[in-house]
Amino acid sequence: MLCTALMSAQEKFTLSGTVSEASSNETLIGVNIIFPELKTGTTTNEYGFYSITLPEGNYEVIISYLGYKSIKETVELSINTSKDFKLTESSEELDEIVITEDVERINIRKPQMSVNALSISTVKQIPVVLGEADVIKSLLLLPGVSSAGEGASGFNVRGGAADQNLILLDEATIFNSSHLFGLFSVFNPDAIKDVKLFKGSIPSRYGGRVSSVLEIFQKEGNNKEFKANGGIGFVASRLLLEGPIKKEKSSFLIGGRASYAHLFLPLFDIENRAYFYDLNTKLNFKINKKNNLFFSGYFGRDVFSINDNFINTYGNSVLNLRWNHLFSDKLFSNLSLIYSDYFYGLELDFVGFLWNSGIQNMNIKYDLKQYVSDKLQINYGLNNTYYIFNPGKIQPSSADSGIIEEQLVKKYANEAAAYIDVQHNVTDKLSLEYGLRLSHFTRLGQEELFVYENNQPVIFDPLTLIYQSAEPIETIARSRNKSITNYTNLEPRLAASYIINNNSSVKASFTRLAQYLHLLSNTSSPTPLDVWTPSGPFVKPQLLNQYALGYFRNIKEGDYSLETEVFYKDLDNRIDYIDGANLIANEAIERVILNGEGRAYGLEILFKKNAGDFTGWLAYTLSKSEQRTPARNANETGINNGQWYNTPYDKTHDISLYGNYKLNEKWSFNTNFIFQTGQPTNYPIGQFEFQGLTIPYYGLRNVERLPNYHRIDIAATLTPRKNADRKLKGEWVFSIYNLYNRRNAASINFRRNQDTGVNEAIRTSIFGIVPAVSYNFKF
Amino acid sequence: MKKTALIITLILSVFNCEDVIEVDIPAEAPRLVVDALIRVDIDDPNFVARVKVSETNSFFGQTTPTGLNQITLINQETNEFQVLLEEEEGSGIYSKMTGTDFFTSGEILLQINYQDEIYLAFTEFVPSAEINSLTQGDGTLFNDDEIEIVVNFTDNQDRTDFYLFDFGFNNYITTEDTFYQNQDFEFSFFYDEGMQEGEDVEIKIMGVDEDLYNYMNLLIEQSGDNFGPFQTPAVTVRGNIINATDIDNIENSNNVNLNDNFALGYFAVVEERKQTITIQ
Repeated sequence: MLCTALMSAQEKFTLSGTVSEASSNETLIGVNIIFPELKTGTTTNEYGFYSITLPEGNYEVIISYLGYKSIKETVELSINTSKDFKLTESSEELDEIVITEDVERINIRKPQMSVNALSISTVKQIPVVLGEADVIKSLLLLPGVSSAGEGASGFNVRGGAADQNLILLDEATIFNSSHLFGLFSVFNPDAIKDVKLFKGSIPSRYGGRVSSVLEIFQKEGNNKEFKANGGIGFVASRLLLEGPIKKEKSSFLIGGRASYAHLFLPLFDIENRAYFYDLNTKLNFKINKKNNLFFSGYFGRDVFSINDNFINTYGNSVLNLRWNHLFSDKLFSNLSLIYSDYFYGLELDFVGFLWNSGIQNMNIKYDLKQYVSDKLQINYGLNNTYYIFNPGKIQPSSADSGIIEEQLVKKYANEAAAYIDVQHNVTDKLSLEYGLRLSHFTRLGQEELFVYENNQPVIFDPLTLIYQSAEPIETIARSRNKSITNYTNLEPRLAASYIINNNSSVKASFTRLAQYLHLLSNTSSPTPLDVWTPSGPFVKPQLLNQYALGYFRNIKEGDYSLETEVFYKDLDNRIDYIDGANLIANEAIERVILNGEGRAYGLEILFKKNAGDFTGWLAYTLSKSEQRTPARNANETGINNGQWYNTPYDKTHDISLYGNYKLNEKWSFNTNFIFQTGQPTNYPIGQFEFQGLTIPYYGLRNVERLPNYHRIDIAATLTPRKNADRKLKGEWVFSIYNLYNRRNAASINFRRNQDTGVNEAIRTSIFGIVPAVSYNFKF
Repeated sequence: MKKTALIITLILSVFNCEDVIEVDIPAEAPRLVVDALIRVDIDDPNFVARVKVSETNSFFGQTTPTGLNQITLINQETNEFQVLLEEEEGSGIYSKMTGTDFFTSGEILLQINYQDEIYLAFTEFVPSAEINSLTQGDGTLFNDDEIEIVVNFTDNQDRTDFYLFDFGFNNYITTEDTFYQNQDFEFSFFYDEGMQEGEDVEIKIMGVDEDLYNYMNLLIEQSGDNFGPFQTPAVTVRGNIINATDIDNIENSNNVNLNDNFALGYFAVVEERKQTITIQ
């Protein structure tokens, strides 16, 4: 008796399969598969796959996903079973009884914390400037995420710099996430399936950047029927086509977006062009039950030209091939081959030269996911990336130009990593996720390497108190196959969650991260011509420790949720620039860089209303972000006299309020309110004259602040009723950005007015009130 | 490449809206400013060397000339020295008619006694290059009223050169020869000053060393009105004039612990060449 009881208790079977959207077969990421009787469950991975191993039996299973109708089914588990689920969008079921929407509810059990997911439908509803839906601008409404303002590239996470964000599009690194110098982001919202931002507690499968990971997956394409959708806006229009190549087996997706060429013509009385475009493509083949193949690509460019005197082109390209293979119903694997590059080109006719710079990388990675039991899942893998850095190449633009062609010495590096990550439900209450990443960075040889006296490329004059570039004492050559500097780092990751009761939990995490690449940028937010540079003999990798603690609570069965977290980060080897450093076309960047340190800490609160006609959230962040570069020895002062100073992205208070109200099937309304403490800045402590110039001069860095930033945006979406029985479904989005026309300062500069001879403080602001209309359609 | 950054900034300013606002600014105690960029014409055997001294003031105040106890130039090679005298009481302009040879060889020391403090600076003469030609073009960059002047000059042979151009109207440009070593180099400058036909414009080229090149870059950047939303870190533009009062070279041989103890401005001796063009 006892024996058979034991036997049957041990008899376990695996339920596995994929979850996809019913009408398109588009796989869905992060769908919850819950077994209420066992109080256990799992979620689908990045490719829509799930697997769970349970004792033999009949179970009720609930499949639930944000914005989709939940499915409740009974499964009989007496053999290993493969089962695919199809979900339908809840909004399409207009005539059904209204069910409580199962929206972005927080998973209180998972140890994963400090993560924010945004559904693409939310992204499309958030009012934005000029009506162009924007992934990155939407992220700014979340706690712990800020930007340097309108017209600023990139974003800052928990007091980190913009170059510390790892931005992945279908697993490929995107080096510049902005179009038009930061007015728009490079992601076409129509082509995107899923957006997830890790602000801390970053799993060990990610590495290479110390602040955050923004993971974006493109749609695979509808493999059932041909579909098109698009939009016409003030700034740009977009069109996306998708459909089967072979029905139910393979599909394609191709999406393009382009802005109007003479976008800023009215603002100039001379001939100029400013536009951007991007192209997203994806091919997807289901070879058989066990094998899937994906090709995806992205190509985007910005082009500016003035009078043909000045032509500026830049953008990203990405190409990748991924192969999903199921070794068994418990072992999922993915092999990726990825190429990604960033190009910056400039033609200056009046000086007679062409310029280009950029970065290329080739990445191979192999990730495995082993579903050991419903309590244990192990992820492990390998990753190798080879980089080529082009700091700049100059060429004469015509035969009579005096410019001599020159290629600044290219740099090469290789980054390898191995990781293991274990998700472990230890008891009913305690869950752990622990992992380790071993990363190794090799700076490879190059044609010319400078050698400095005492190994110091930056010297300090103890009398004038100025940091200066040292002259190299020797130039040496090293083969590209030879390593010149190596760095190895062990990066432990640990996260734990403890369930207090059915609705609340506490979580804690520790994350250590290493970053081997640095964006050379000396402005408050990156510019397109900033150049990436690898760590090497003089520039050390950035190393970060982050500690976070959080309390999570679902209120009224998840109709409301509350997430609170505190974090502390300390960062070693944050590069800082000596006064007056020139970063462009600098052959020896080590001569203007010193290794400093940083720290940031803060509190984040996110309160969400998840259900009903009115949904939305309130996010509040209280934080501090500082850096310093102390003296290297007693005969130096350090940068800023070696004192801590506010980073340009230190925002004491950051409040975002987002609301969505669905009045009826025809109208819905959205609004945001944003308040941020003014960005740190400098006011002159005096002025002097030299050779006729009036020069404001400054004291310690970043002690003043710009005025506080705030604004309200509103949008209304009209979905005409006649849509229901039409093939072409359209919607109108009317929006007003910066409703009360506040002139938020992007910067305050000080100068002498040359006409009046009077000194002035000049406020530069970007957008006042901006109304916009856009039309979106699908058929 | 500085120019590139400038243009990017200008493009961005297309979206911008600028206005003058009131700001409460901090102010520190007045500090000595020494404007000692001595421009030498080597074809002239004698010339008047001039140094202008003043005091800083808060940004919205007025800078004022100041008086020195003494100001001396010493050629360290020949031990010759020149005492400069104030041209007009209260003008802050100190000058001396000097032989060109005094400046063109050897290290030169500037010594200033001011309010019981001793300030020192060292420099050496830097040669320049000849402007080959100035021609007026018909191109424009940002608006139709601009006047294009094409400057052609030949870089000095086989040495690293840094040049400072003075286009008048407080327009300065710096350039280095990395990408045009030994070449005839031509570039355009665009005047936006509303100049009239028949007006003469004098354009000057000076040879400078790397430190002064860096210093002038900072001054141009900090004084310029070509800015956009990219905030660059503000710096105290320290020059090469040091306060040596407390340096006895026994107990104290540097200013590291007296990092607020400095004068602003710069001392340099440079060769200047010029050409004039009449606007058509």
